[in-house]
Amino acid sequence: MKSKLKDFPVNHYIDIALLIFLIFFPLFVKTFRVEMMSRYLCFAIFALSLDLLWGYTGLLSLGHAVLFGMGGYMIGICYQIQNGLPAFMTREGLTQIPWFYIPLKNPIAAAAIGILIPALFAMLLGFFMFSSKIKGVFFTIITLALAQIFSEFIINVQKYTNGFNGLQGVKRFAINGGEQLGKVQYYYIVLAIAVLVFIFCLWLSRSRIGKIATSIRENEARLGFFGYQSSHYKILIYTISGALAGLAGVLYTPATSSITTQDIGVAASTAVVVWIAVGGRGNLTGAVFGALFINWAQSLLSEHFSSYWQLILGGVLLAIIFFIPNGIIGQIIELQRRRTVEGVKIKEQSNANKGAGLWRQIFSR
Amino acid sequence: MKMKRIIALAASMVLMASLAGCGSSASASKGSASSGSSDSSSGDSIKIGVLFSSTGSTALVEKTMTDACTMAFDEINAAGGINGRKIEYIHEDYASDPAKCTEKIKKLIEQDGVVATVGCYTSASRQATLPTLKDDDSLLIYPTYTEGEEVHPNVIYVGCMPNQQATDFIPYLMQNVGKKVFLVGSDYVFPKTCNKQAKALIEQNGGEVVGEEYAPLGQTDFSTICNKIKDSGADLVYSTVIGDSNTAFYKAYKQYGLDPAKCPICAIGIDESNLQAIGADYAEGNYASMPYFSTLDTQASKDFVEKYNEKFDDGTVVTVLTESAYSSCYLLAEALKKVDDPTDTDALIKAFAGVEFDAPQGKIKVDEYNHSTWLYSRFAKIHDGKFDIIYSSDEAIRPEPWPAVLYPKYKDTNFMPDWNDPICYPQ
Repeated sequence: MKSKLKDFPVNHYIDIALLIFLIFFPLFVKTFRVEMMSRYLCFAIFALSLDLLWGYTGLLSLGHAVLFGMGGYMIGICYQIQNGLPAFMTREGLTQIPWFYIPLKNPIAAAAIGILIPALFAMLLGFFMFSSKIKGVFFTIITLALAQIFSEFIINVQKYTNGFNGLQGVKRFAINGGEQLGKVQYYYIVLAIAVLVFIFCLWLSRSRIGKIATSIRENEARLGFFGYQSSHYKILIYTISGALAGLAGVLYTPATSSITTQDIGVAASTAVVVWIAVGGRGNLTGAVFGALFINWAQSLLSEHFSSYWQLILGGVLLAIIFFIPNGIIGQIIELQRRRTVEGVKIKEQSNANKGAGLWRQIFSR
Repeated sequence: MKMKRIIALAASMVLMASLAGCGSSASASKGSASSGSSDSSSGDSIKIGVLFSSTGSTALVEKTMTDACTMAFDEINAAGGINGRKIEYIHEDYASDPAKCTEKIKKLIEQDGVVATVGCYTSASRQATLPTLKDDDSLLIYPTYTEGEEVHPNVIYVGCMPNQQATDFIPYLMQNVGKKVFLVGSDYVFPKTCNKQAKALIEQNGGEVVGEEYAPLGQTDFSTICNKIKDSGADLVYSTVIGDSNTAFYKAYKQYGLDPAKCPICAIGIDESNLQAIGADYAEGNYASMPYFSTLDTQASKDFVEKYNEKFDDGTVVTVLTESAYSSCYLLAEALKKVDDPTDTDALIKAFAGVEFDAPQGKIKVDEYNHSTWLYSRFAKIHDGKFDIIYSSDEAIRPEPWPAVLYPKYKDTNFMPDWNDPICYPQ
């Protein structure tokens, strides 16, 4: 549909405005706000990774934080083993650093592993699920179970993960015991990576792979009749999504200086779904906007209404999902489309779209 | 074309406005929950952070701690404040999430400019604040009982150390209850560290450990463990189960036919709120050890409980954590009185050495050296859903972050390694 419009899509105005805002953001606020924004940018990358999977391919994962956590834990472990055996390993009777942790000692290697492992994990999981034609709600339920299992697993192998307390004191990529990166410096690195990820996702969504992904979402059976192996493409998208989620985790852990089981379980996985639902699926801008918007709303509301903030936020989220099921950015794009193309057909189509509630849209696929 | 531009412009403005909110909120520094001293100007008042969750999984426990702080600071202000200056407390909710805790402590220190923060409940949340406390050179007063083996230069530990719960309790149990002990705990740092010490003390007092089991955190199925206890022939169960698992454990214990009269559960991880959840029937006849129980029959304690219940009539009960949060605020106030410039963190930390307070539990004192607090040792037998105190130490007991029974080498260095030793706290 977008290609029919020769005009510049409205969401790219928002992208550019957002980018300019983010570039100048550190000039106007206190350093800790910049640190918060670094964290939220990592969430934005995380949301982009899920948007590829859910927004474009129509596969709703409720366990995406598992992939995020895998990335995050690699960096977390890297800084735990810098000064010899960490206390939590000694307590559980380990006498030396387990062999499989040795490669993580170098932060750069740990970052690379933190991207690779979630990608491999997603590929393997995708292979088993998609080649046995698991789709729709069943995919969602399996990923949900996965999130629960993974956080339980991390809590219970505390010998290697420090369990519920998680990994603390992670440095912003201090290499060989040197100084860590400055807070603002790190912000710009995260921003630059976020921009690259965004451009990559944009490119991917417009490439042949992206078009096939959209076709899988719209009508997988018909794609099959054309001779495409849809499962291959689904595995590919899931793998890319896993790598990006891992990347988000790798950047996130140094930004907060800790990672715990709170960041990797069901709650974290559903949070990212909510961000995308509020921002709007399948247009990338929505994922970024949703992640930044909700996280800032959470922080600012909790500063001002310290006991009722979740109630307020919950109300707002419900209102958005109920009244604008396309999400905020989705709705803006929709408005532009309606204004630009005055064709009756388009109007009918959009009305039909509007009628379907969010949950129907999710599960009818 | 024109219309589209307008939409785009409007959209970007909405976006800017929603995100720029964070910049403008710098001026509104007071949380709505802080009702402190609204009349005094900020130049005059001393700002203190209160960092407890009011949402999330641990909100229920932390609510009473927030309330206790509110009560303490209001009282201090009513009594004239700190050297004539009022306290302005700012409450932040970290939603039971360590990552949020890091964010909020930064907000309190860097934006609100608090001189110190009373807060944190779980070890995870405390540890999440440590790098910030060090970087920003600020101070945290931590009221929760802890497993020890950590002393951070920027933290004052007001909660009890395991030695304060165990050194009197275990010899008493050996003499009066039995020698065969079964250790049960949650699979977590606190239980494992405490049990290490308990084992040493049991052996020292001629007892014998006949079994040791750990249940995953939050587990509600204790059937296997109860069967093992039954088969072991234990005289008593020393329990370091924490949190909601306790309810399931005590219920299963009775359902599996274990009798507290013959083999009681002796716990160091339950307080009044757990007791309420367990129920009087299931808890009857078991033992517990804590520095404070709300049933303590002294005037100070009774006044405290009465004041609290009057002010917060919301179904919450006074526990050792409530008392400890309350005392933390007063200890902080006493330390602040001793310094000329409250924003001088080094001076404030030094001022904490030897600070005393007549707490509801009795006279307590912050240790001169190891940043932990001298507290009472008390244990109680549960009867009719209440803690019947059967023993109170005569005076506050010295805190041992690295207990002498396990680490004799630190006995002469205030029970802790050198401040520069990397094992002192997670770096």
